[in-house]
Amino acid sequence: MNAIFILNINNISHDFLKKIIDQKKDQQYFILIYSPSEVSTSFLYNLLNLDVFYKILSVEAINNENINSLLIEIEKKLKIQYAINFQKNEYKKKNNFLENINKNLENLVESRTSHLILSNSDMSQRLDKERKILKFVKDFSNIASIYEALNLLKKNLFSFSKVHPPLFLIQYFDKRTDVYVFNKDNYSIKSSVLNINESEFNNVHEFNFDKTTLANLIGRPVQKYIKFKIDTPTSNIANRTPLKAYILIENSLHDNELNDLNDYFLDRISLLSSVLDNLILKDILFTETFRWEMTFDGVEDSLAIIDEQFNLIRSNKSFGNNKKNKCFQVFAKANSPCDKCPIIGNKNKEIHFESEITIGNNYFTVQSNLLNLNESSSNHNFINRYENRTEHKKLYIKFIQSQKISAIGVLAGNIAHELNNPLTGISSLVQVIKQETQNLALISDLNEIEKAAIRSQRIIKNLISFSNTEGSGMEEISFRITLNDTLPMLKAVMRNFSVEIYLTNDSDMIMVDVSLLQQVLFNLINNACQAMGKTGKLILKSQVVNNFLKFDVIDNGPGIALEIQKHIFEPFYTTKQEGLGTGLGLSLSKSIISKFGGQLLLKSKEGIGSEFSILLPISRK
Amino acid sequence: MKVLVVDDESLIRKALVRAFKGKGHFVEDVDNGITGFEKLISNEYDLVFLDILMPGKSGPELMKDRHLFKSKSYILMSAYSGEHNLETANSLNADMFLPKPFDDIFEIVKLAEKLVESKG
Repeated sequence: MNAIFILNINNISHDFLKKIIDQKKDQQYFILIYSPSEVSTSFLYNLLNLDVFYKILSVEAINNENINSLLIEIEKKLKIQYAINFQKNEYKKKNNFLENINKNLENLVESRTSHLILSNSDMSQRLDKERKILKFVKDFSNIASIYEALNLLKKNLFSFSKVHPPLFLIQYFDKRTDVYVFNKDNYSIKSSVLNINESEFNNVHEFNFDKTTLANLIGRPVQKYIKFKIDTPTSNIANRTPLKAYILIENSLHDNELNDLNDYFLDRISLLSSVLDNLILKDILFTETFRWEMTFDGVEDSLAIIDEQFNLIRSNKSFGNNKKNKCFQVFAKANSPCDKCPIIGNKNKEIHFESEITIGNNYFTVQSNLLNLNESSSNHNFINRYENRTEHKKLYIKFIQSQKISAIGVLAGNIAHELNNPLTGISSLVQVIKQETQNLALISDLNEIEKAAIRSQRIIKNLISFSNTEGSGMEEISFRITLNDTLPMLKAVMRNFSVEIYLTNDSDMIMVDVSLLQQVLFNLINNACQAMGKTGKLILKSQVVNNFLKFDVIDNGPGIALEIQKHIFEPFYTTKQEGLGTGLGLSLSKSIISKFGGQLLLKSKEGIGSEFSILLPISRK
Repeated sequence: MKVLVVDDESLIRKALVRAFKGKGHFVEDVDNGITGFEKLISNEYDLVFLDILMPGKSGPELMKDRHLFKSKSYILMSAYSGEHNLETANSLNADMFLPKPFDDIFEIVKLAEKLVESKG
């Protein structure tokens, strides 16, 4: 405030008044116009043009007292007016403030709205991306092979222009690399050694290789590419030696066009890695399984995995493999477990247990190993290896027999020599006594004693000769003599049979090893008697035919089946139990006779009997 | 002639002794190699019959010490005929090898007389 001007306008011109008013116009003031004469109020209104206007008092007469109280009132009213103005201003301010806030809010809303609109589009873009990746995942979840995976990836890349079918590389520990390359209409593998260097620079893993080598391998130049390493943790474990995988995407894009392609792969590379890792693992496992199966089936010995109930879990080709359940059904063609089966015998569930089983005419050594395929304590599994020891057993029997024969031979030899001494004594002393006496009766008795001693000596000599398994050496001898030397040893054997002997009168000199021939003769006659069993007729016949001595051993036993006849001269072929017989099989007899330049022949008919014939060349000296 | 028989079989000793005595020769006999050795060391015989397998010293063992003896001719006898024994006899420088059993004891006496005669 506030100047209060009291003017006496009587003596002031209107212009001057106006000037003062103009000067003071900006101030809040009140001009009291005091005029002794009446002035037109309307004129004053117009003149003053004031915002605050105080009602012009019509003044008829203003004396000093009136001015004071008037001033006080004016002051009051001014204050009120001022307050009102102030409030007005405040309101205005507040109004402006509110307007500003309002404006700000509007702006904010607008920006937020636009933001939301932007996020939404962002979201939908992201959503779209995720959907695409999900589809990728779904497509790849049904993949069964690396080829399928690569073809699918190629298909997915169709949406990119200027991008070529991907190359897939698998490198093994020996640097040999399989490259899956698309050619014409499908993927194929090319293999070669390829050096791939991996390096780490500024925490970025990189790999590099020689493009020329790769180009030579796939038969064409290698285009510009983006590359990714495929992590193969599970395949590495299965493969036992480290392997590495890489994917190359050849393209003819400019560098500034690569972003989309790179982004595509960055979003998908870990999924792709995991899929490819699994597929590589599958390949490895398949190869390993195949290899194992081939090995398992390729083993000559029979192998089988069985459980405690003899159920056949797995067996190889040699063991046999048909739909039957139990191991003994398949292997032994029986209805119950084999005698001495290791599964039964191994009551303590030893880790390793061995036993021998017999199936028909075959012997097997079975090595049984406990398998811990499942941890359960009941129903263990075993892996059995069946080794056919039939031949071995036969050889062993033969060996034992020949050892026995040798032992007996040595024993016989020893006994014979032991007996030679006293017998020599007896015959020599008898000869001496004969000379010293005239007593004819005594001499006669002494002759008998001497004959008996000589007979004994001959038997012993024969026994020595016979038990000589190495042979006594070739000599020319009469067959008859040899036969007669052999027959005494067969007395016991021939006891139950009627024996007819027809020996030729022709010269039957042959060149043979006597002890070996004796053994052959013994063998044939012994066989004939064994074949006849309890009773029968044995015919021994010798004749000279075409410069050959032919000697037949004929029996009326059951005869020999054609099937057996085919094999009877084969080494180790026997239908007899082990331990019987002289150990000299027919095969050995045949080979001995052959060595003498002769033949051993067989004629036999079932139900009638057998005829074994020895042919030996007559010796002409 | 003077004969020594070394053999553990009594019947053979008896037979040889009586056969040679019957033909007028002088015969001594012992039943084992050790006594035989003693006899050979201390006496001189025209002919010595030695069994190969004997208790004490065997025939071959005695023949190894032939240079210690004064006797002239040695005949080895054995029930164990066979190449091995023949070799042994020859390699040990015995004059003759006689396998048992004997066919005719008097033939042996004749054989012995011939052998001693040939040695002079």
